[in-house]
Amino acid sequence: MAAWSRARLGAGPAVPPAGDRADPSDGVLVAAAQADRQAFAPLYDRYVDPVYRYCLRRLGSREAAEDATSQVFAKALAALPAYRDRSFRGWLFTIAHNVVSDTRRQRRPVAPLADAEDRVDPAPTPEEAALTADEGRALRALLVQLPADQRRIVELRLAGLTGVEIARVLGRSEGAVKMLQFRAVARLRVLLEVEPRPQGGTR
Amino acid sequence: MTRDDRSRQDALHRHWDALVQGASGADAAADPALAEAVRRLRALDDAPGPDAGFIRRLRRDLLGSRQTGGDAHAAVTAPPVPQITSSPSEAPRERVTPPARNMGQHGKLRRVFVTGANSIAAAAVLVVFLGALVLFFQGMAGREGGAGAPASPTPGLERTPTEAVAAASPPGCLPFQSAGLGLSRQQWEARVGPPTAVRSEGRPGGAGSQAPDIVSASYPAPRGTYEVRFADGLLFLVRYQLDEGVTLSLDEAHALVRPLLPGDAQLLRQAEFQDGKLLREGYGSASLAFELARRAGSRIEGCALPGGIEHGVPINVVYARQDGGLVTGSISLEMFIGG
Repeated sequence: MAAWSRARLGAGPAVPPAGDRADPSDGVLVAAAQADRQAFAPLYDRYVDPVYRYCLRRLGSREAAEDATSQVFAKALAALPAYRDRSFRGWLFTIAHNVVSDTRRQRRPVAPLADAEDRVDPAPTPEEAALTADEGRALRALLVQLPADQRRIVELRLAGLTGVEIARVLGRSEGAVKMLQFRAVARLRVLLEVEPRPQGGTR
Repeated sequence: MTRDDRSRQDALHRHWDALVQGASGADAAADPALAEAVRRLRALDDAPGPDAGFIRRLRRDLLGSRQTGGDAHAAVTAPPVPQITSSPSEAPRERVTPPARNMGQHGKLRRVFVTGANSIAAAAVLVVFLGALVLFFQGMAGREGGAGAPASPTPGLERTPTEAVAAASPPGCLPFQSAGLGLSRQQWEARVGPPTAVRSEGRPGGAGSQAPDIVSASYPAPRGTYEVRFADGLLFLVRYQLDEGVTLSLDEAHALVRPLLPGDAQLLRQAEFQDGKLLREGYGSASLAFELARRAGSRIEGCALPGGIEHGVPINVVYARQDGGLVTGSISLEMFIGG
């Protein structure tokens, strides 16, 4: 336990892997926002939509997505002075991923004993919400058929992240992301009834 | 895995990277069927964007005022609690005027999970935290002669015996600052003065156990008494015993509590019990987690906690209240050290 703790803390967060794409536009905006928080507005404007959509895809209801999006930007703004990454988008979606994961965990009907007495949240689970939501139902119906780790990657891809950024968000190697992504798409190909095609014609 | 498999994975990876970066066509090397699956999947993605009202409201909450502080998470989740000492440059410790979701604005407290609560993660936090504490206590024992060592100053915290003690943190990270929980006994007494009573409780499990040495002590406090407990010299519990007849609004109670919490402590949830006679608030402090790990000798890089424990060390604050909701009797603060 102690060793695990030491190892995890010692390792720190995922360092942006070599080759992580720097986004000069974001970089300029981040530098400005670090000097003056009002200058965060362009970053907010740029990312509020993809972050919200990502939260909606994962949480299944507008209300939950709005709550999560609010948290993501509030946390990002609070942490911005300490921001040192090379990919603002990857950093921001790491926060989003954690917020959404927290929200989903919070909704599960399992809790530590210490918190058992205040598990009274009547909100529907993400799965329930997904079943009743109209928007994006077809996509969710597809994604729900993927294993969770593959689904996470596809959701982040749909949010517009590169493979390197996804690896950073999920704390996985890029190789692992490639493999899981490949399996996910292969499975989706079957679900979407895309016929195998001979390769090479487009080369 | 064959070389061909790896090649197909790489091609798909490049293909999707190109798509998210704005390319319109398929990567020539990508499997056409897989590329078509990706295209159809993206076409199915009809998740609507946020409505304009929400965008405006959130923007206003985040950026609407020049007075808006750095701890914008509090803007979403926390009631308006006064901030302990801070320098203007320490943006993350500033507090903001809570926006629409602030419970304080609703005028009444209700049993509710505040957005962002992470009850499941508490178990994971316990695992990490206990590990850090064990290391911390072992380290302290090693430096100070092991069992029976007196409550002692904590290395690294002696530089600033001011009211709110700050400690070095990893470069660029939120510093640990507290005038209560997480202090050494020496730091605490530098702030509140000498104790009026001290009682050694020893080590749970006996003198030979690895458990920390527990000391209880009482100190004078404004409008009451601090009854505190130290684990190997680390302040982990404060019971603020209010003088008889003292009643406080929740805002006033927060004003007493806030300085006793780490500066970055964020309110995660509130819940009422016993027909509202008890109010419990759950906080989390990331800086405290890092501080404990630092004291334990763990090498710390970066500013993010491991996944699943991003709220840091859990802290419970329990307010005893009268029927009318006024705080009376006692307020207890305890950081989660397990067991």
